[in-house]
Order: sequence, then structure tokens, then C-alpha cells
Amino acid sequence: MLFNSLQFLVFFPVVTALYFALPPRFRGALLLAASCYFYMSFRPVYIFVLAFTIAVDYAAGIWIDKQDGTRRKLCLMASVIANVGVLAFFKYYNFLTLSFQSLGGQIGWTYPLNPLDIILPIGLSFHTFQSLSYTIEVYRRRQRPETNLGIFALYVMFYPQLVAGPIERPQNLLHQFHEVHRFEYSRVVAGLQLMAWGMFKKIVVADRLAPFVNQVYDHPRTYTGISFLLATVFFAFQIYCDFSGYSDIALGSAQVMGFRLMENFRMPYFSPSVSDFWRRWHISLSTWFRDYVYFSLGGSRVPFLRRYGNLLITFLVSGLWHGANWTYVIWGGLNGLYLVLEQWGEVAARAVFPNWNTPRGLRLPLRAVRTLITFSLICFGWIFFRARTTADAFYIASHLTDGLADLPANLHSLSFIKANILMRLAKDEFTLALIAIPVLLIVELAQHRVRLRTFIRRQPVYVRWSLYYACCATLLFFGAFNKAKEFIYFQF
Amino acid sequence: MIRDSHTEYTRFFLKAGSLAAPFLLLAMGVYWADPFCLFGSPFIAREVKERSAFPLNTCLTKLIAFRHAPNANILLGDSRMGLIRPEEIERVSGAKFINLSYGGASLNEMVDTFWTANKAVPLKVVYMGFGFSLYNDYNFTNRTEPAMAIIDTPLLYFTNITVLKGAFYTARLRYAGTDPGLGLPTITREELWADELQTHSNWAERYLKPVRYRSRLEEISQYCREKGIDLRFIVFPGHADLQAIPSRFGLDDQYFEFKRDLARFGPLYDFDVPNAQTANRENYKDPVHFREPIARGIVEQIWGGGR
Repeated sequence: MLFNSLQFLVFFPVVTALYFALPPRFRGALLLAASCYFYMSFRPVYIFVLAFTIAVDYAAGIWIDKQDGTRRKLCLMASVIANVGVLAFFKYYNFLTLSFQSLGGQIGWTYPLNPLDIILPIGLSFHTFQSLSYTIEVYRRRQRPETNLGIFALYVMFYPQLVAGPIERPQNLLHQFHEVHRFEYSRVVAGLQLMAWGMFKKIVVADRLAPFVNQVYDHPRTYTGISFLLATVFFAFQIYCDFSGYSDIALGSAQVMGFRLMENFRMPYFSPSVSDFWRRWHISLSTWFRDYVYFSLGGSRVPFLRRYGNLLITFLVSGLWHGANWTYVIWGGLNGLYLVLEQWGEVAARAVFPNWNTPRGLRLPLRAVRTLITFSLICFGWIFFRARTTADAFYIASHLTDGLADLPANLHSLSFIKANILMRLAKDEFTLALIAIPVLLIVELAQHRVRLRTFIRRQPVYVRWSLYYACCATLLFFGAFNKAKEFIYFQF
Repeated sequence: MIRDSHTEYTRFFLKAGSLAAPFLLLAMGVYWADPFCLFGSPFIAREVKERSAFPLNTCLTKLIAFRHAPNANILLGDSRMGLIRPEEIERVSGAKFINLSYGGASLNEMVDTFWTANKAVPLKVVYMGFGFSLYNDYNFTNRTEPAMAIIDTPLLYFTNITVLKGAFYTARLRYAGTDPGLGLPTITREELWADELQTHSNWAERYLKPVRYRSRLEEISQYCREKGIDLRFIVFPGHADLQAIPSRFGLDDQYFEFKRDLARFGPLYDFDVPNAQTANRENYKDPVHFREPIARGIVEQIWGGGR
């Protein structure tokens, strides 16, 4: 069941209405049943995979808490192996098998195993990481073990964030299932507004951009520079709106019922550096990797070469987390490399200009230039993320500037525009996509100063209601409703 | 049970109702105008809608019409098939057909329309008409999805911007007499001629072996054989300028392969051969679209048994 489907349009109000109508002691059971139904609407059989993860980590949490020393560590290891094992089997078995087969073919060795016909359980990487964070936190004595199996199951499979995060930490979410939430008008409205904004991002921006991106990235050899540039920038906004749209709907729907989930995006494309970008993009995953991988490797409290190595390893693993394909590994490696170069550049700059202080008047233009450079670097990385194969990615990356010199002359030709800019799709769709991106950026930029909700609340009633009507009309009439499209991050 | 404040609930439902009310009114307006005749609403005559809404989305118009009055004999194709009039076929052969072709259609859209039509009624006779430029995996767009989604989920009819536009034009034409002038040409014949040639050259330049199309057509062909559906193909006559494009891009082999493939999938009527008729510009509105006499000739040859 997708957030942008008609099913969810019925499911969400029914579950929410029942949630507030039921006595608090039955609400947990309702949410658990709703979450099971939500998950099983994708592929029912995989509920058993989820049940396995829940059972293992529930038991592991209690055992870890009772043990000390080596036994404690062993319990944690058992949980990690079970979780990573499930993830490895479903997500990486075929990838590794095919990679070894290919490698074996090159050195004349026959790899004995064959790929299996398995489908990745939806959201596996998300709920596995969420569950793992619980056992790690219990191990680190930063979280008491949860003794109520139902509550723990709900922590792992709370439906708003079950299939694509945010990857919650037990300290933030677990205790909320013990609280009683009342129907509060202002909180419910705030949640619904957040859901509407998420829907705008998903169905008005992301789903409108998707056909242009797919057209180019599915047939890269039939396009040239301008199409690659456009499609890549479009993809940058598509993936941002798709994923942050999902997160907003998740946060909003949880908020309606009284739950606070962690923020997952904070205007990432306004970042003036790559490191800043990673502090604002998919925050719940970035902090997960920071806390459990990067810090475990020693973080930045090690000699500088090892620190750079740690960064690269963390990003390579993060790339692999996104998908079992070399394109994701390269994407992760590329972002790791950006960070290493950025940190090294900062150290070098401080050494050369120890007393440098940017003049006041230059700060804003300089920040704009840095933001633009960061956005370009991130977009370059997206090529590898989106391309179907590494060969396609390298083809696109090496033909980004093809034909740009002739562009001014070609822009007079209607057929050139149809083929290379509109990518054979409807002009109206293209215009709509082009309008939606600045709207998104303006709203985000405005939120930087004052939260949109606060801004709207301060307006006179007729302005406020006009905005509400305009927002609903935009969603209803400009949303791509024809076929509920899956969220990109569901595949991870 | 903890009792939540009734005031909070009342406030919420009142405001939600106020927010929803104008949209419900708008939906009633769309139902009343029913620009594409989905609900068969009787308030405005079909003739008005033919001028005010149907040209906005021929795909939606035709699929809705087909849903209301399905026919086992259908014509599928792009704008060239659109020039073949079912009345003309009925006149020469007595057989009734529905034309489910769309302007600028891709082969993908034709194939999807086939399956949609077959779901509505078991098909008996199907003619698919298109040219070489569509038998190209590069041209893999599909714009029929929104129309099919509306037919499957009528709720989407009220949220579709084209439907809303159609409802507005229909009401305006009915009560203010303002004709939106849909479908009128916006460029000269010479510009259209050059533009069509350039578009088809672009497709040829980006030719992609039709692996996906071949398999989709093969699937239809196999299905038709199993179900006893008479599936036939028509390759329409392009003007000599259009016929020259495959050679110009070194695609002669692929062009003949295209005709061989179609002949394998079902009986093929091939009109795309160089002759005096295809050399004459007067027979064409642009290099792709032939004029009425040629369309009548095609109908005579295929359905008239040469009479």
C-alpha cells in the first residue's frame, strides 16, 4: 500500500479514527494490526522475515541486558549476524554470486553457486537497521530492553516509517508507544499539513519529473549532453522530492496520532559543502552510519590517513546499503572521495591562509557559489545512483557536454526541442515540472527564516484559507494520480 | 477510556468540511458537464462536447466511448489510422468497426489499447496500422495510462486537469456560445511538412532495435492465434520524402526487417512502396498524413475486396 494510493486514502483515516476512538489499552494492538496489514499489502509472505527480525532482537535485547563481558558481546554478535545475515541473503546473495561468477569467468574458475529467484522484502534495509540500532543501544547501555513484545514489534514495524524510514533510534520512539495521545486539533492539523506538503513533493514534483528522467536514463545512447544535464538535474529533484516527500508523509501521519518521528531532510540542496549536504540528507541513515560504523572504526580520533580511510569505508558501505549494484558502490565511493578531498582542502587552506577572513560583502555570493558547486558535485554522483549499469553511468558522465556548443543554434528547431528537451513527452508536463521545482525551492528557502506553518498562521484568515484552497487544488489537479508510483527508496 | 475534547473534534470536522466543500461543488459541476461522457450525464448534448472537449484528449474520448459501446472489431494505430473512417469500411464491407487510434500514438499505446479493449469485449477482428518510425524501442512512450486509470477508477475523472478544462469549455460553449477552436492548425503546411520530416529523422537517428516491441507484438500475435482473433497489419503509404529517411540513416535492413516481422505476426497490407501516388505532394497534408482519396482507396483495397 503506497502513501499515494487510494487504498491509503481510506486506510489512514480509518486507522486514525479507530485509534482515537479506542481506549488507550487497545491502541497498541490496533496499530500493530494496522502495521501488519500495511506491510502484508505489499507481499504477505515477507511478514515472516519481519517476524524473525523482531523475535531475534526482542530476545537479544533481554539477554544482552542480563549478561556482562564476553557473553554480552556474544549476544550482540548473534543479533548482528542474524540481522545482517537476513539482509545479506535477500539483498546481496545474487549480487555476490553474479560478481563472483563474472570474476571467475575472467580467471578461468567456475564459481559453484547460482543466483536464486528471490524478491527483496520491501523496506528490509530500513527495518533491519532500526532493529539493529535497538540491540546496539541496549548493548551500549543507553536503552533499557523492552519487555513487551507487542510494543517492541510496533517499534520495528510502526507503519508510517516501516518501509522507508526514518530509521528511528529506540530512545526517540520506543517510549512513545507507552504514552497516551489525545486528539489535539493543532497537532492533527500540523500533521495533515506536513502530509500535504509531502504529497506535493511526491505527486506534483517527483512523479511529474520521473518520465523525463526515465526516458533518458533508460536509453542513454540515444541522447546527448543537454538531455543528460536536464535529466540529471531533474533526477536530483525527483529523488529528493520522492524520498523527502515520503518522509514528510510518514512524519505527518505519525504526528496526527501523536508520535514524533525524527527529521530526515533539512534543505539538502542549499548546502554549501558536501559534508553539510550529508548532515542534511537522509539524516536518520547518515547518523546511523556515523554512530555505528564510522565511530566504531575510530571516527576522526585517529591519524588523518586512517580517518580518510574510515570515511571512504563508511560511504562505500552506505552505497552498498542502497542497492546491490556496483553503481551504488561507485556512488558511495564518489561521495566518500568528495568528503576526503573537502577535508583535506580545508586543512590545506587553513595552512596556507591561517588568518583568512571572508569580507562581509562577499559572504553571500561566496556561499551561493559554494552551494552551486556542491549541488553540481552531488548531481554528478546521482548519475551513478540512477544509471541502470556502470557502463551507462560512465557513458552519461563522459558525454555530459556533447553538443552544448551547438545548443543556441539548435534551440530554434522545434523538433530538436521535442526530442532533446521535452524528451518526446508532453509540453504541459514539462512546464508543470519546471514550475514545480522553483515553487519547492522558494518554499524551502522561506522556511529557512520562519517555518511555513508559523508563517501561514500569522496571515489574515482570507489569505490563510486561500492558501489552503490553492494547496488542495494543486494537489488534486496537478498531482500525477493516474498510477500510484512506488517510492524510489522502497527498493532499498 | 480517555474522553477527547468534543470541541477539538467539532472544530476539526467543521474546518475539514469547509475545505472540502468547494471541491465537492466542483466535482458536481464536472459531473453535470461530463465533458468526455463518462457518466452519460444528460444535461449537455454530445455534439457540444465534440467541439469543446473531445479534441483535448482523443484517447480518453475513444476509450470511454468504447467502454459504453464495445465492439469486437477494432482499428488501432496512430493518426494515419485515424484517417480510416469506420463508416467507409461499413459502406464497402458491411462490417462495423470502432477506430481506437490516437494522434501521435506509440506502438506501446496501441498494444495497451488492444489489451484494454479485449478486457471489455472478446475481440474478433483487429487491424493495426502504423509506420516504420514507430517500430523503434526509442519511441517507447505511453500516454494512455491516465485515460485507462480514469476508466478503472472514475474518481480520477474529477481530479484530471484536462477533464476540468473540458468541463469549463463545454459549459462556456453551451451557455456563452464561445467555441474554444480546438484542433485548428497553428502552423503553415510548409512548416508542418518540415517539422514532421525532422521528427521522423530524429527517431531514425536514435533508432533502437525494437526488442521490447517485437516481444509485445509477438505476445499479441500468439494470443490472437490461440483465441481465433483475426489480427492484421497495415503499413500506410508515406510520402517519398518520408520513405527516403531509412536509407538516409542506413536503416534499410531494419526497415525490411520491420515488414518481415509484421508479416510473421499476421497478414500484412503494405502500402508503403514508392510509386506515382507517394511521389505526389498533393496527395498529402504533410509527409506522413495522406488525404481523403488515398484513405478511401486503402479502405477499398482492404475491405472492399478490390471492388
